[in-house]
Amino acid sequence: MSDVMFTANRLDNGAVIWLTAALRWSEAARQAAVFSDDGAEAARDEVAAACHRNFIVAAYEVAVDGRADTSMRERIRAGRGPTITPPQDNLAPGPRPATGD
Amino acid sequence: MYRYDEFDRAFVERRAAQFRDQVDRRLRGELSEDEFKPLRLQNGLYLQLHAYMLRIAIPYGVLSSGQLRGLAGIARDFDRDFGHFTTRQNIQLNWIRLVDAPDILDRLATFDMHAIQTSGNCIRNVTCDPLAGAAHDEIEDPRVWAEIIRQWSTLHPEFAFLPRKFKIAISAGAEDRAATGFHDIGLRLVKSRGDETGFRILVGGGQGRTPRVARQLAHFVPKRHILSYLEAVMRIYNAAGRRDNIYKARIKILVDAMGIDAFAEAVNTEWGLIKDGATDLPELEYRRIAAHFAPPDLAEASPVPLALALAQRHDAGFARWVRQNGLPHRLPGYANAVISLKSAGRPPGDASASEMEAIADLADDHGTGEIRVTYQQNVIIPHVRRDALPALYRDARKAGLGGGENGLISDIIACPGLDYCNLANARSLPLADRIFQRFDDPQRRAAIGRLQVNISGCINACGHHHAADIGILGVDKKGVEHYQITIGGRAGEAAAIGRIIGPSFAEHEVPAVIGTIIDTYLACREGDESFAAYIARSGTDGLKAAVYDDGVARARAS
Repeated sequence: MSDVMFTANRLDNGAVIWLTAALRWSEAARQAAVFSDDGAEAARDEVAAACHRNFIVAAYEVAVDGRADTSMRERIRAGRGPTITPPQDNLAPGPRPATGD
Repeated sequence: MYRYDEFDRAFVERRAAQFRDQVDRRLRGELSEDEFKPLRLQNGLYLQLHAYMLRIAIPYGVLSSGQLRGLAGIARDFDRDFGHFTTRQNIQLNWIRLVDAPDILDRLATFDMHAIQTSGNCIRNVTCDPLAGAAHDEIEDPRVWAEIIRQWSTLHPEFAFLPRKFKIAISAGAEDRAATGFHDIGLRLVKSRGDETGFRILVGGGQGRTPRVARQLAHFVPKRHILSYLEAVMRIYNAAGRRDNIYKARIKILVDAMGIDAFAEAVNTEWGLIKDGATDLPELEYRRIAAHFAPPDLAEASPVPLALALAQRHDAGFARWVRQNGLPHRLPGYANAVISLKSAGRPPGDASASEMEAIADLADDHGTGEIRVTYQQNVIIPHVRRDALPALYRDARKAGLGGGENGLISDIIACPGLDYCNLANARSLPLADRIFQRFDDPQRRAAIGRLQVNISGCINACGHHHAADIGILGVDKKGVEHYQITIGGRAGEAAAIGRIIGPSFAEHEVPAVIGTIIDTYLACREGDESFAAYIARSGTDGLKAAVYDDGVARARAS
């Protein structure tokens, strides 16, 4: 078995989140915990529980020592936005997704 | 343009209220994600890489200036101040919160818009020639039929759960500006020998992993029978289309499996049972809907106004813009002006809220307050007096929207790609910008001439790479973004699927590869031969040699 990270989107706003070492969810990729075989069991329980309490959706595991950890997809998700600059509005910016639970 | 009546308004408001209840039930856990997903998709709401994405329908690509300002307001109040115009006359908002979606649908309903059936396995937003009612070459206004088909297909109980999504496009021009050859059903308004108007019906076109150019299903269906004919096609597909394999569920696969003749026979048998029944539209109802599309009252105007001629003589940039972006109108004193959503640093098809408002102002100040959205991810201000073109150009430039890219190598179609999309393998948007920057010389772009470059971030082909002179498909090669190049595709008349020229390239190599292809074409073309004509004449061997071997000299010799 390999080390894994757990990630999902928040159900209410779709924001990308990661599971931390304290088994809480964070929007900051740097707070994502790497779970070895032992810890992964409890982490999977939290993923199931978070689905059950309607907090997360589209959860999956990222194999940290596999190729997924450095894939462009995961880098873009961790960056919380596109790699290009969208057109800028001339007025004040609108609301941003709220921060984690 | 079509205005909602009380029935339409109540219908859309009820639908928004229904979705609010569904969202509440999902958030409370009374609906599982599996139960909720098809419901949110049928209201245009996807879960993408960073957030929810809402796809809003722009029926047959027509917006009033008020509606565009309304969309700008939604982008500003609920999203990150911009929107993305797609190839199928929708606008997508990329940063939507599920909890806000019902409020957005309520807001849309206040200005006669919705997101119904912009996703899901149902009949999607019916697309149309963006020049409908303003084109110089059309038989009649196809928006009337697009609206009729929209009303027929919206929440049609029999076709709410088809084997797969279903896309219909309509064009009435001599030139096909709606890519009808790449739709599940393509409708071309035509005249019979007896001068009756009806539809030539194409079926089974599409892109994705099994690209197909649509084949002719019927050479002429009288227009009064179009709904019963479409209903017959849908019934055959709904009953016989595959539901066991998502990759084999589109109608193109069924048409392949049955053969076009057997498919047509099945449709005709079904049609015989329902033709002249309750499905076909009564003449009175047709007239009621057609009245919404009465042509605007346009005063007579000079086809060669002095103001236009002088501005063209004194401003080379304006002259280029008129040449590229000033499309012919049915009246010689008028034009249809393309406002390009392609420029350096701009993701193709993206517009900020303030730019949307600026476009609305352009339509009010220089047109008739109407805006059209195109297959090429640009917008058009229809019905502009030719003597108003200099002022329109001046104001468009002030808003940063004065690019004369229409139809040129810089007029790139691109899907959102891996920057936003959950399905993508590779990014489309940074590559589109790299290519734009490589050809960032208006004179060189003009010298190259008409040439379509399309980029898709995965095999689902939302960027229509199969239908481009030069198509670019993003693939994942051992975890690294790579891009396959196809040559010789075409939307519109004589639609064709591009062919892969060889092994894929890393992202940083692609602009140089496109450069080599263009250099080869420029060195080898005869006279003002278009890229498509050059490929038709000489094939792709010369290009392949230039790209994979040692360049233009060999191609010229071949």
